[in-house]
Amino acid sequence: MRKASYIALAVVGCAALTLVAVLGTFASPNTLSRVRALGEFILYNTFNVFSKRWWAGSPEAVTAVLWDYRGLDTIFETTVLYAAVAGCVVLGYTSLLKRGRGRDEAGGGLTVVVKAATKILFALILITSVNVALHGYITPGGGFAGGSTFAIAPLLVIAAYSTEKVVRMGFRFLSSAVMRSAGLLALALVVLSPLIYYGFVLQNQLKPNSGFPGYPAFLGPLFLGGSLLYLNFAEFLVVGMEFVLVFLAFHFMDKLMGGEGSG
Amino acid sequence: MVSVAYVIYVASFITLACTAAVGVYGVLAKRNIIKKIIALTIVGDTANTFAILLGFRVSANVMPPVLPSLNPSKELLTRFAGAAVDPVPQALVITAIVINLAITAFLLFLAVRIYSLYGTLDYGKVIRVRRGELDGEG
Repeated sequence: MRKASYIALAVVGCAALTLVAVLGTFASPNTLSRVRALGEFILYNTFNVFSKRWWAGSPEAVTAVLWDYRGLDTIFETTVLYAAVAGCVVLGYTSLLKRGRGRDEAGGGLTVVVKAATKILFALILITSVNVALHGYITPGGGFAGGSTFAIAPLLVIAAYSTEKVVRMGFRFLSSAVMRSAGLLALALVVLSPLIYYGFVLQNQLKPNSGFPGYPAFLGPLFLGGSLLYLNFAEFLVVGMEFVLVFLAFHFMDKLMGGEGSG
Repeated sequence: MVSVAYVIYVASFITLACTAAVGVYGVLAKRNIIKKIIALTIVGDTANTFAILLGFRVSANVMPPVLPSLNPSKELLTRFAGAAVDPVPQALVITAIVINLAITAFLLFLAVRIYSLYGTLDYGKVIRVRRGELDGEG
């Protein structure tokens, strides 16, 4: 009886939600070939070199929305991420203090074939993640995608070797926390420094009623993309290091539970 | 005349609605906390895909929201604004994915904590252990 009521609730709730979306979207097949006016405004203005009043200096519209048009959303999103990871770290770190440092497990892990493949993939993933983060203002990608990609590399090593191996490679609890804080500080610096020139918080390019001339979009033949490049790299540090912290904290928690130490 | 792309678009909406229903049912009905978390991630990912789909453009010459040139002409800008998909849902979803990951990690930490305290992941058993009806570590 209870199961049937749960099923009914789930079906009715999702059907109602879909109906709302359908009424707004499927009025006629012709409207589906257009996007909302806000989207079209951003698409037209994001790299409008002829009228730079509302431009973001980036041909990648998603990154422009992320760090320029809706930048405050992203800042608060980073705050939520910080709070969630801080909660995880507190839970894991108290376990570490109770149990003491984990013993060094030599050997173990998976077979030689997997370990050799992991070594190659580790380097490839690191290069790819930095590339994704640094090119985020020209091609699809950015700080979030790059950071999430980066986090896979230590996870792979945890699976093939052990968490001790990751710690020995330099992904220590404290250094990860320091790197994350450095990323957050860089983020704050880029966001707040236009205020020195009587500009706006999160200002990227030149805007009306602002003394700040904007971050350079071009440097000679190089395309820099304004503040988006720096913000993307700072976010890359923050997201990547926060996930490394979560994996390490989970490992310490596992030790408290008397697990195998496999993360 | 209804195009194939339109049919696929409508069908993916229906599929997503069914997936969301499965996820909501899992969150409500499953007694194991890990299964609840899995169902929650299903709901979250469905919502993200839903948002992306709402920003899609059903037409023959649809473009990704990345301008293909660093020296655009006015004609290219107009064509780009008229053909590319909506970038706003994509930007919101990329942050939502990372938040989802962080929240899921936090929920998993809490689940591990619950297991270490009560020896079970079944929330009905957790309640009974707290009332003293069952032994911990059971």
